[in-house]
Amino acid sequence: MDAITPKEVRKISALARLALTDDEVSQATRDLSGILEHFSAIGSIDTANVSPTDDASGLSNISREDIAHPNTLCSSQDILDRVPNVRQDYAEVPGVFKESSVS
Amino acid sequence: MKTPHTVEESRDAIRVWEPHIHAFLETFEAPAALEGVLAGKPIAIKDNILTKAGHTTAGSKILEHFQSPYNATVVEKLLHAGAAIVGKANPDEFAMGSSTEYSAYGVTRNPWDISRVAGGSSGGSAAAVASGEVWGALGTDTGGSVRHPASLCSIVGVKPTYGRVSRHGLISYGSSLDQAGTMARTVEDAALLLQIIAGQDPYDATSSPEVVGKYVGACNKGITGLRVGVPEEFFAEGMHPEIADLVRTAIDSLKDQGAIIVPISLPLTSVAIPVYFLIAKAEASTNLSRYDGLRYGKMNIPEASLLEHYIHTRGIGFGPEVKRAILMGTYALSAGYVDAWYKQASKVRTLIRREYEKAFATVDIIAGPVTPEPAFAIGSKVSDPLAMYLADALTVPINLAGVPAMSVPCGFTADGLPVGLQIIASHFQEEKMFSVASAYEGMHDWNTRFPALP
Repeated sequence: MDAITPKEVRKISALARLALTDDEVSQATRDLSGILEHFSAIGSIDTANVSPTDDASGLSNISREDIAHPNTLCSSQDILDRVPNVRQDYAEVPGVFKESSVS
Repeated sequence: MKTPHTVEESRDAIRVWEPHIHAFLETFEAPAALEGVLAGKPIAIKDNILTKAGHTTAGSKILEHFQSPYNATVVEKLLHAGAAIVGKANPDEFAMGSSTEYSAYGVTRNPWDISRVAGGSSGGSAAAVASGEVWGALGTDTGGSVRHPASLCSIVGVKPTYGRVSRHGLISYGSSLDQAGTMARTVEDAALLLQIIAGQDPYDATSSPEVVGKYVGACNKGITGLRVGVPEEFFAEGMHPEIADLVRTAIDSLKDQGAIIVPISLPLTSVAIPVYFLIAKAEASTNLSRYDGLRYGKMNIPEASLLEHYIHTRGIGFGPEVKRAILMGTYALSAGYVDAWYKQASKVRTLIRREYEKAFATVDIIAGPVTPEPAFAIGSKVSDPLAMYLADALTVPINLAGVPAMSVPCGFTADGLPVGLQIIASHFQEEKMFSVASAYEGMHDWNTRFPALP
């Protein structure tokens, strides 16, 4: 496995929607290269015909009745009390659909 | 020094200890219930578990202003049993770390030596119990985050079987690994807490319908004829010699109670770290995509496009280890790399699970050390991520296998630093684990020792 490059770190950070400073890119390149070099030990383990552990619980088709339980309900007021900006009983957040503006 | 049984005793202990250890991010005036199994017992909740009271930050700046509108199921169950929730305990950011040094709100110090870490990521919970600030605490354990700090602080810490306890209301880190766990000064108290929080929850589809055991009853039950396996790989190179001696002595003493000690082998122990971190960070990178700066409280971001808003919020809101996790996880899942990293790790995880199943076909319990070294100096690993990961070498295999395990105090090094004995059982065999832990505890007085106020 080749060492990771700053270019790859920038690509990953873009995929992850994560701003990094130039220093952070350098640091992450060093850290990830060192860590992944150590982790490459798993590459030599024979896993032919082994299934991945996609399910840790072994349970399937778990469902519940779609009913509200009074002790777990929160009122809209419970929620609005915890919202930083409220306008007319709505949570106010930056606009999403306006072109190039979120104010 | 003593274990507090009332809110008043807890408040007094918090007043004297908190300036030295910083176990809490927030404390509350908790109403003291007079009824219930826990009737007024002061309890700390790790800050990555949702509480309606106060804030839930998970130790992260990105959740600095977040207040949950509901309680996690485990919190509801404790309140129903009469517990007094006295505060939110300091974690590593999003439970990623083994020292609480990655908390955005300062490090928790070890009550036994305040120049050293309390362990992590449930370090605040462990320090609060060890110092006598609270009677008990909840933590979460994705790769050792309950057992590691329990070991470093000389308390009992329990990681139940995956699915034994509801994850509803736990802030997700690695969803196939996360479990809430209990922390207390005695085996029986930790068992009682698990008795209360265990069970299937309609709000967590991965919680198990398996019948909840009689954990308190399992304490003091005797261990005659029980087979205890000791994996040589748990004492491999790098193990602190004093820990190896104390743990071997502890395991040997179980013979006096009628247990049979059997050497076993778990050869994949040495690759558990890469397998665990690849899976945990991959799951974390997807779980943490929800933090976008629009939901979960306020971030002050200058006007920008929506995409810039996301990128900038996450850039300033997450700390170094969380950024590393997101990068590593995104890399391990990205096109061209997913087969070699994430999928290979997940396949080796299957082999590790089989290795434990095979071992438990011949033994009832597996025992060994919890950590390769005692509490380390604050600052000594914080800039070396791989060194920090290796602190979890003997706890992460248990989460990969999904089995229950606990740390029980088993002595102190010559420097006075606590050491824990790890007791591991097969899926849903928590009762056997508590029987062994309780049998060991009964032969020693480790849990009657308290750290001195600095």
